[in-house]
Amino acid sequence: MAWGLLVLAGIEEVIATIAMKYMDGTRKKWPIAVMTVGFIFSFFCLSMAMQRIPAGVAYAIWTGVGSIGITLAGLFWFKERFGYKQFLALAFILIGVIGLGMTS
Amino acid sequence: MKWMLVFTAGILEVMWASGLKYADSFLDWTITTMLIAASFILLIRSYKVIPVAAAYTVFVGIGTVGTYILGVLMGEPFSVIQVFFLVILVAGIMGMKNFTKQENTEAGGES
Repeated sequence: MAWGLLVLAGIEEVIATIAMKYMDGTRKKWPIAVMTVGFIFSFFCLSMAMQRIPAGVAYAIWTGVGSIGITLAGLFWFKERFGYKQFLALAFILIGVIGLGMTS
Repeated sequence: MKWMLVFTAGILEVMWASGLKYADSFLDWTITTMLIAASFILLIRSYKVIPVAAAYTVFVGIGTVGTYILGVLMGEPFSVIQVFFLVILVAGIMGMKNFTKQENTEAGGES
């Protein structure tokens, strides 16, 4: 249950971040609404999950799910080109964030 | 130069993340809310030139490093294994910045 909430929070974070990308380019109002609702709902689910899962672990998983999701969105949705060096750097950041969260 | 937007957004993130933890008055919460808004505005502006995945991951990484260091300065315990992960994380951030910048320069982007 708590883990389901955590994954849900990560997915909402990705949706909100994708909406952020649309805000600037198109200057439309709807991405602002999507982003605001997405982040509020995401923080809500995260804090609910933290009731059961240790806060540091929950936060690390949340950012991890978010970063992986946004990278996939960048690659497949926005067609961003990534070199192997960038994937390596991304892996370092993920290992660092998750490792730090798990050991705190 | 656009990376400065991401770095500034990350530093503001550390400030509002601490605000979420320690704020207990109306003024504190007002400042925290303004910091959140400023931080996201900078991040959104950086998306114009930096790929979403690179910008967001660096943003999150700076937030994690900053809140961790601030926590240690405030007297929270730390261990060797955590410093190890911290070094890996910082290396990842620097790598992401440098490798992404190179690609932008190739495509005729700014330095």
